[in-house]
Amino acid sequence: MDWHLFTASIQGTAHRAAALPNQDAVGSRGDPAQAGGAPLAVAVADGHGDPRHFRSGRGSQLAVDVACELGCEVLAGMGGAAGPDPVRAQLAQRLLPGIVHGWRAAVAEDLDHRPFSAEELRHRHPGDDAVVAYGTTLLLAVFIGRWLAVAQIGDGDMLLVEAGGRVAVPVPPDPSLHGRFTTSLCQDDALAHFRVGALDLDQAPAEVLLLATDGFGNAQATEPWQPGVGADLLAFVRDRGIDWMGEQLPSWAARCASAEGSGDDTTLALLVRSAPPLRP
Amino acid sequence: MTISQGATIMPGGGISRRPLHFIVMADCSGSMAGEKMQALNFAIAEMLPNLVAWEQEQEKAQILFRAVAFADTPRWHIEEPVPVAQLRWKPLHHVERGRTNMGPAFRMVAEALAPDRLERRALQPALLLVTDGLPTDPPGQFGAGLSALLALPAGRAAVRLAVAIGRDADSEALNRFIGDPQVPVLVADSTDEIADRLATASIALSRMSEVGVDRDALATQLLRAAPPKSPPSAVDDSIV
Amino acid sequence: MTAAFPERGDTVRMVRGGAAVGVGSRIAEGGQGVVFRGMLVNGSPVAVKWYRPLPHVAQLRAAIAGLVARPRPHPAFAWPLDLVESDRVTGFGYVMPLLAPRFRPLAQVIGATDPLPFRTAASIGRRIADAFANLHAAGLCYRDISLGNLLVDPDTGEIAIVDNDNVGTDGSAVFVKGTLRFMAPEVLRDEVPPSTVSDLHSLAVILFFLLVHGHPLEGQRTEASYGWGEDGHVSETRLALQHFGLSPLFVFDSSDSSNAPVPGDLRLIWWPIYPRFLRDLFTRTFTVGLADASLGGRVTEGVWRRAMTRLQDSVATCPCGASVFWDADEPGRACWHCHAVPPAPPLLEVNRQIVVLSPGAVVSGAHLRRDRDWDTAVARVEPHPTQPGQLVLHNLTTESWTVEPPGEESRQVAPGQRLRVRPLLIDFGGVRAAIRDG
Repeated sequence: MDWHLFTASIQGTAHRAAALPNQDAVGSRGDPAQAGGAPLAVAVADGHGDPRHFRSGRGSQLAVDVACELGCEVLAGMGGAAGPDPVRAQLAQRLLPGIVHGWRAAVAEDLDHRPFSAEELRHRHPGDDAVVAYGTTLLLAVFIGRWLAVAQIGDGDMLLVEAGGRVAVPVPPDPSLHGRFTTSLCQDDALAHFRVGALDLDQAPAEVLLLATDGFGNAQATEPWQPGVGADLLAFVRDRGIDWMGEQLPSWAARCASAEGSGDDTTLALLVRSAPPLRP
Repeated sequence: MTISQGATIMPGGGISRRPLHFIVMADCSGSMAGEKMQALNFAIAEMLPNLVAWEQEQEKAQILFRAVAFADTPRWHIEEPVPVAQLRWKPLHHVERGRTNMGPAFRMVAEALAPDRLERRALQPALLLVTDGLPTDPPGQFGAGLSALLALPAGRAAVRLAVAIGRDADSEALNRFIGDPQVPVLVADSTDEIADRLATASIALSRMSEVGVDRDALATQLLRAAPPKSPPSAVDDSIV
Repeated sequence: MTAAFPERGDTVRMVRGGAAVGVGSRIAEGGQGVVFRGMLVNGSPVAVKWYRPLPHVAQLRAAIAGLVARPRPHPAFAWPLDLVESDRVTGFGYVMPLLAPRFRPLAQVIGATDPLPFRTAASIGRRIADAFANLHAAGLCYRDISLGNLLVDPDTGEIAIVDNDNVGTDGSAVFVKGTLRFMAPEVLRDEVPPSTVSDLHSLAVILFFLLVHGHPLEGQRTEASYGWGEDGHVSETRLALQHFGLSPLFVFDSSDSSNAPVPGDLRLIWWPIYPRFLRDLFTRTFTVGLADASLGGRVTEGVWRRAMTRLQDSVATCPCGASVFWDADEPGRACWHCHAVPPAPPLLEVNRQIVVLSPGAVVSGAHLRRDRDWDTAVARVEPHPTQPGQLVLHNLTTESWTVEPPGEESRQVAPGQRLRVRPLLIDFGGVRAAIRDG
């Protein structure tokens, strides 16, 4: 399977105005060309903007790094899985606890190297665990063999477009998410708020996968926006070509990050398959 | 035999006409620089007398002209509707490295056609889109803008035409904008065809705005070089 | 590969005679075809209309050929002279007389801020009615008439009727061109094909536009039906069927004022100016005549023609300077401008007609002989060259008039001479008339 990966991350105008850095992060591990069937992991994360989460930009970067590394490691053997259940089980029982634990460890190490300053401590709420300052969402997609394993905590969007035109959201929705409230990796019960999915790419031949922080969805005027965006993404593959899409991706993110869009940091990871799905 | 009256006092003349809003959406992207922009400006200026002539031949409509220039973002080139007979065309200019984002242009026009902005007695508007390339809208944005326009009764009822400068610009997106399979995109294969296409478009838009007209027949007459070919008669393959 | 249209410099060929027609520049472009300037071999300027490739082209050609075979019903018609063809161009066209530039679209003339003088408007109205009458007498009817087909010379009052492609003998369906607002209600409702009687409705609408500056069936009720809100919008086609076909209501219907023009509308100013005899005709045709599609319900061309003549003959000038109407049936009407009652003007009685003698009034051959010779001017009323407030009658013929002022000897008014207007008897070369005070 030959995927092309393009990423873009643009600081939101609202953040720029508030002198906040871009608190989103994006990362990947593995070779998109997937020679030999090795895993490919891609993740985006959105650090919370509230001053209480004053190191969320660092938290989102750590989340992305940990998730991609562990994603490849833990799911490496799942390429031969016969059904989605073993994949989901591996996700829920081994990968997610690993990510939560690994992220907290990474946060602790970061804090060791760089303790909170007096200025930072002024924003800390009484009783807050240190990890709260690093609070972030996380969206992770791992391609392994014919499986696509996905996991998400917090807001943000994943969009899958199949070759036949069907547009789907691969993770189950979280009914508790709406408006300004988001679930977070820094919560004590973060594991309970993750949503997971496992898709058989032989059954649902994906052509495009988009991971986006919520700056993207919030900048769409139509509701629901997923069908129109998905249709356009597929049309772009056919009519404009993959290279063109990669060139345009930063401007798409920039539009969302601008006042014309949501004004929020917007991060996109776009995966486009460059050849028809191969039979194993 | 001349009938003379001398200078007597008469009541004021005129007829009350209903507004027909004619809005041009012009591509001002970077690729329009130079010859194309010049030709487009010339073509629009040449198109105006056609509209004035049509307006004078009938008693129902008064044409009020506006123009949107779009590249990365849209802006009103002529924001307040101007009676076409009074209009002096000021040239459009391209935007350096400007893109071709059409969705926001549709949305801007939609704002002008909202019920609180459009006169109750206005006739169905006429919209003309001119572009030299494919839309560069991020995914979902072309559709969102077009939906905003078509969400309004005045947007749905509007007669919509498109002129593509260069065959490459003749895209599915333009057909979506037109919204009528009988009505083709007018294509200017070269710069010197732009004026003719706009002239055809202006005639078509004014005729198609007439009430009760058979728009599809008119589209066939005006916008196609030749009538659509009838399907070939069925081959009798029972005979071997 | 053959072209779709001829170009400037081409030559096309008349089908009947084979004569060549030179093609010049494009004059106009429309839904059906393109019109070019042209020239015959003898140098006469003509117009050439060339059709676009249309689906029903064979029927169209046969229809035009039918018109070519007939003489034009009235001088106003820019009538097809012959079909034309070309080796170089596909399709066909026809050649017709070229209109002089003095002819302007009627819609433009009515819409101008400076209105036509009353006499000119009346003269135009009479010629339109005359053209309709001749068309019907030739066994033809309009399948689609609108202001768009009518041009006028605002200085002379002459008219020209173009786009006669749709004139026909049979009454086939008309929804091709779509000028619904001139169509008779029964035709709009698709109950009957167009006919002479439905043409009378269209004629009345045109005359109403000409004289009252607006549509007779569009008022407050129709205004209220327009809107672009989500709930309120009704398509124009549907509205036209409603307002002109299903439930038309005259804007000046005396028993139902719900469709009166909105306050400030020009029609409210123009309508009351006209004499009652004219308003009664409009009222009849747009009340009774809407439903009664017959020669009894609608006003016929002959009646309009006489009404326009009477209107033209009723134009007077108020001392305040306004142009007004003075009609013998309503002698005490106030001036629309200064609201005073103008003094009764001097009148010329000839052949049971009354002509108000005010500056610009014309006595024509038609007055003298009750024929249709309105274009021959016999006499014109002018201000007295040296006595302000006085009028003279200018002899425009080549014969002398004999006049008998009371208490004076009879005398001659030679060709070109002017007669001071005062009560007297006039003999216009055998036709006796009298000037009297109003």
